[in-house]
Amino acid sequence: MSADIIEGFLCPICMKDLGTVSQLQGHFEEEHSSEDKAVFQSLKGFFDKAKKKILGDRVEEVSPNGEPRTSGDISIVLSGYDPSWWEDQELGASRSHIDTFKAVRDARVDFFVVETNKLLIRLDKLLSPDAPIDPKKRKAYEREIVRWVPDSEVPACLNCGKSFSLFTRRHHCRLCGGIMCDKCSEIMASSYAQKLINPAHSFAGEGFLKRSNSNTSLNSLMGADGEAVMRVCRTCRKLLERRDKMTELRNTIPPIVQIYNKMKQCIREAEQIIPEYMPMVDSLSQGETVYNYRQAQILRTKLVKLYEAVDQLSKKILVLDLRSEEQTSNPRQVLLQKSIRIYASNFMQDNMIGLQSLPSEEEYNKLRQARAAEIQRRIAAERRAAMEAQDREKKERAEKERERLAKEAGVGSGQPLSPDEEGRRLGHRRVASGGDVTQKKKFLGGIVGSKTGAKGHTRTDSDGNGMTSGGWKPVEDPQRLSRSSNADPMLQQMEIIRGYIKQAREAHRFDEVTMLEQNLRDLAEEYRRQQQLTSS
Amino acid sequence: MASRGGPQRPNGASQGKICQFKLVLLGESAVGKSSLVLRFVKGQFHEYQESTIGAAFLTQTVCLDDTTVKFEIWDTAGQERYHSLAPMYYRGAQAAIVVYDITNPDTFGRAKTWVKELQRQASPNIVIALSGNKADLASKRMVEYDEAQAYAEENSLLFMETSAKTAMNVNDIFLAIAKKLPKSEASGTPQQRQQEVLLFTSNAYSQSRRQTEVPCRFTG
Repeated sequence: MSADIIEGFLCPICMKDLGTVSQLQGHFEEEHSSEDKAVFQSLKGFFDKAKKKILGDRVEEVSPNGEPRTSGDISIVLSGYDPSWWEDQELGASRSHIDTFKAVRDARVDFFVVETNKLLIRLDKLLSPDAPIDPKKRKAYEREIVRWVPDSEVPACLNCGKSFSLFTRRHHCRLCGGIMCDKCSEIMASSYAQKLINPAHSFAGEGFLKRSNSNTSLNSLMGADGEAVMRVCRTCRKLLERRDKMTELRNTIPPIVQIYNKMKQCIREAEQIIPEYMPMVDSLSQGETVYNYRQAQILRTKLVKLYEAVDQLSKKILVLDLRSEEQTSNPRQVLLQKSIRIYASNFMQDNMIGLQSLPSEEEYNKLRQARAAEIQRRIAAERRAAMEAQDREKKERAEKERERLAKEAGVGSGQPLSPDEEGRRLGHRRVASGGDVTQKKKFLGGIVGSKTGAKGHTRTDSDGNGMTSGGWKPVEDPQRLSRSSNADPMLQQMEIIRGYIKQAREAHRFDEVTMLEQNLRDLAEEYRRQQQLTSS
Repeated sequence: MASRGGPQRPNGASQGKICQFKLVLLGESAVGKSSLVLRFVKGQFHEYQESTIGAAFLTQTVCLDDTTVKFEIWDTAGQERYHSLAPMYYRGAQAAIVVYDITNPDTFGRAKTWVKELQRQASPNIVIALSGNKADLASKRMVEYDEAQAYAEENSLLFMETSAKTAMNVNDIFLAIAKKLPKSEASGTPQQRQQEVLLFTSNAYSQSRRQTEVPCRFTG
């Protein structure tokens, strides 16, 4: 493991180890600056051009006048910010610096990541079970892991500037080998260190111990409660803590996201139920018995509960940050919270307010009875009509029969026809031979059909197809018709359709209302078009 | 008779589909258009049916195997005075019944003109049925069955002789039309849209943007 890791002032491109920072800088400028040079050159050229352009323009502006500059001119030139210069200026060449920014940032991020990783590797070694426990051996082991800066090189604490003496002792950071005074050093609990190198390691409490003033012991390997500790510098602490925070952020779902997910779940469920519920209400409030009343009630309760949940959750999101005071409320986060709340309330407005309420059970029963009575009444009326029609037909037939018999009697043949022949005579003439019986059946079926159809049942023919009782016809209004009989047929028709729409509405025939309204629109449009044609 | 021309059953149709079709009745006055629809929709027959003014509107639903077909029926007036209204109704129609009176040869001639007009002006996919009405008055027949049958075959029309009075073939002709109409889910809108385009380009009528019935749906 340690064989793979090289430390020192390494050139990031050729991995060469240069002794010091200045050497590394020199090396980098000599060997690897060729790529950057091109960029630098072009940048320089661009600025030069801009400079020339601005200066040149100013020269041109003055010289054509040929007049010597007045003091006013000079003041303008001196100020250099005369707005009149800027007004006409167009946006020149623009350049995105995002790449540059990214490069700088990446380098910085890389630096921190590499540094932190180094620290972690050392930490791992320090915490390994092989590490000697004996203080002297341990010191040697620690020095092996990272080169300790020699005491002679650092006369004073690099952090607070206090010069070291017999009372102000030098302390080494176990992770970077740097020197600082006791006050400027940090004591890290080893359980926290364990957590850093192994995220699965459970850890609770403070990562760094609060130092007591009296604790100046050099041999500070043990904390107050007997836990192993380690002295590190502030830089290393910062790096480690930053990393810890990042890991934490990556692994935990923030509460706002958790609540939001719950809310979305509720919305999804509600959206699934709505299309199921809507036709139920429509049907039930018309007194139909297609759907179960209880089931609709259950669905409605579910929906209301879901809406309540959405409302609660979105409110919770809205006030989320206000409760936790340690977090400074970020304006973006506040905006996000507000947006979520608005989204939720829009959803509620769209759905919950439009949520039709079910009729109460009593109302529903009344509706159902009313509908049943209405159906009964209609069936009775139609049956009566059918009976009358049948009677009339019977009478007519009987009359014809009488006539025929009389005729035949006149001819001399008094023999009555068989019913089969009678049916054929009345039915279709041109039927292929052998089709007689079916033809007759069909003919009779027509009569039977009108009878059974009147009962409100579906008549079925031999193919399994048939009529339902859904036929609808508006009643003609003779008064209306006679009144407008001289008008333009188009206007007359519009008047008729209006009457139909009214009737369809009264009969709760909403499909028909839609069809008729469409037709009325078409007619109006056509009429307008015709008027335009005739006038032009 | 009803199976003439091979009724097209919907292939692999889903259970319980509802189709809506616009059907228009055309023909000379007093051939029995209104009686025909009245018989179909209400099962009634009036000996003295008043002449229609403008265009009457009726609906009827029929069950066809697993589909429910709702007919939106426009019964146009036969009088010449209302002829200008007819295009309004056959333009958006998926089906038309052209009616003539078998006891009156002039009405058969008029029916042929209607068929021609439909072929020229209506939707190219329109299902046209020819109905020789008043078949109960066979004794006064002036238009021979074979003649009409041959004409229908030539123009690929559905053909039946009907009687609104005795209800003969009335339901059958509507059922035959329902069977012949395309039952695909798309039968409503795209066909109409295509038709709209055709009409916009072919003649000057501003085509109605008829909405086909869409069940009340929640968009949330």
